[in-house]
Amino acid sequence: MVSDHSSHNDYESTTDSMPQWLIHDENYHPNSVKNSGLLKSEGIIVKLLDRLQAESSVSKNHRLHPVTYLVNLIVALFILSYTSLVYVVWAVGIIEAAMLITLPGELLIKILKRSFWLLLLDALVYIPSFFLGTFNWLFLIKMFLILIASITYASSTSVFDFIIALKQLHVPNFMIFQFDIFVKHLHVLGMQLLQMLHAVECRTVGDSRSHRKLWSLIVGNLYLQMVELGKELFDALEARAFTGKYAYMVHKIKSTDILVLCADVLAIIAVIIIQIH
Amino acid sequence: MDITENTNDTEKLFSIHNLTFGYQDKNVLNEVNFTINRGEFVCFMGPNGGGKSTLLQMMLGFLKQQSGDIFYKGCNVTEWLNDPQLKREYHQQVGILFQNVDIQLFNSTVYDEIAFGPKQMDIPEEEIENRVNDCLNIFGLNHLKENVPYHLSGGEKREVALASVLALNPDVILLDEPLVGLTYGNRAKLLRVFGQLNHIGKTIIMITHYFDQVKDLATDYVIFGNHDAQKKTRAQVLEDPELLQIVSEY
Repeated sequence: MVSDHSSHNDYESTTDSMPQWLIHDENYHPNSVKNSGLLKSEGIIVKLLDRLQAESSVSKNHRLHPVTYLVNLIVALFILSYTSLVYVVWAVGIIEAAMLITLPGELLIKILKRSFWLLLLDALVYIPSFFLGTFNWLFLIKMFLILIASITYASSTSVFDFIIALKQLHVPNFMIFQFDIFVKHLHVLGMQLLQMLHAVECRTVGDSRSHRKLWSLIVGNLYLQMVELGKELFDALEARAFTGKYAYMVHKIKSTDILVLCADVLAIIAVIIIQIH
Repeated sequence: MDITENTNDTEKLFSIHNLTFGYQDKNVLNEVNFTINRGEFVCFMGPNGGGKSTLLQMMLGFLKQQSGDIFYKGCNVTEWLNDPQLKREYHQQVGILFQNVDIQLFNSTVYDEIAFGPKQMDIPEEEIENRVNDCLNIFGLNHLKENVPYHLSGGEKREVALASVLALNPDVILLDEPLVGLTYGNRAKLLRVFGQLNHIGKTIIMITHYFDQVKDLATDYVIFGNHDAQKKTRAQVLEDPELLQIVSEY
C-alpha cells in the first residue's frame, strides 16, 4: 500500500538497501569525445519527418487543385522525356515559369536554388560526354526543367494532396491504401527512431565505441516494434470495418486550374501533331 | 571539465528564466520563471498540452525555446549541450525516464541494458557488475538478468529502464509520467523507490497526474496552465483549498 511508504520518515529505514555508490556523488568527468555519427543522424530524420507532415507552402488562396499539380507534373515530365524539339522544350519552360511566378517569393527562390544545385550535380556526371563529343545543351536544359517541375510539385503540395489527387484520378483504392499505409508507417517509424536516438543520446555519457553494434541493436528493435505496430494497425482497420473506400475533402476547381489543365492538354496535342508531321 | 566552479549557489540546480515556447501559432509557455533546488522532489502537474513534457524536452535540449533560458548549476543548458564533453557530463548528471519505455530499451539482455551507461564511464568490469546487480536488487529484478528487455511486461520494462538510468548515478532524475499504465501495486513500488532516491539526496522531477499518490512524497509542485507555470511548496498546495482542488482534478 502506498500509505505504508508515503511519508518521508518511512524511507529512512528502507534507504539502507540503497547501494553506497548511489548515495555518493559520481564526480565523473568524461575524456575528450566527439559527437558520434549516430547522434548526427537526428537532423536528417527530423527533416524527413517535417517533410512527411508538412502542409503545402502555398497559401490556400493561391493553391491549385491537387489534381492540377499532379497532371501538370506528369505532362511536363512526359513532354520533356519524349521530345527533342527545342521550341517544345521552350514552350514547357514558359508553362513552368508561369506556374512559378504564382508562388510566394521565398518559395520561388528555394525552388530555383535547389534546382540549380541538383543541376550542378547532374552536370558533373555529364562532363565526360563533353570530351567524348556527345555533349548536348538541350539535355541539360531539359534536366533543369524536369528538376524545377519535380521540386515545384514537392514544395507546393503535401503527401495528403498526392493521395487526394490519386483518388480523384480514379487510381484503384488498394494502391492508394498501400501508399497511405506506407507513408503513415514511415512517419511512425521515423518518430520512433528519433525518440530512440534521443534516448540513446541521454545515456551516452562517454565514448560508446561500437556505433555499428548500437545501430544494429536500434534497427533490430525498431523492426520488432514496427511488425507489432503493423499487426495492430490492420486489426484496428478491421475493427472499424474498413472497406477500402477512402473519404477525402472535396477541393473546388478554380479558373486557374482550368487554365493550367488547358495549357497541359494543348501542349500534349501540339507534341502529338508535330510528331505526326 | 567543470563549468560550475564559479557558481556560488550550488543548491540551485535548474533555473528557468523568462522561458517562452510555442508551436507555430499556438503559445504553450509564456515567460515562465522558477527554480528547482538540490534534493527537491518536484511534481509537474497540469492539463494535457499544458507544456509539462515540452519543458522536460527543453531541459534535455530536444526542443529549443523561443526566448528565455534554462540554467543548470548556474550555466546555460545550451552551453552544456553544445560541447560534446560537457554534454556527456550533463547526461550523466541528469537522467531521464521516458514515458514510452520501449524507445529506451534496445540491448539484447537486461544486464547489457543496465550496464550500457557504466561501460562508457571507464569503470572496472567488476564494479559494473556490482552496479548492475545493485540496480536489479532495488527493483527485485535479479531473476530477469538474462532476459530480453523487449519481451518483458510493461511494468518490468519501466523498472529496467529506471535501473539503467540509476546505473549512471545521476544527481537529477527526470520522470515523464512514470506511473501511467501501471497497476496500483506497481505504482506504489515505483513511488517507494522514488521516495528512497529522494531521501538519499537525488533530485526528482516528475510529471504526473496522480496527485493522491504523490501528495506525501512531493516537496514541491510546478502547476502548469494558461501558458504559465507556478512553483508551489507542498504546504502551499495542501493548505490552499482552491489549489488543492485544481491539482486534484489534473
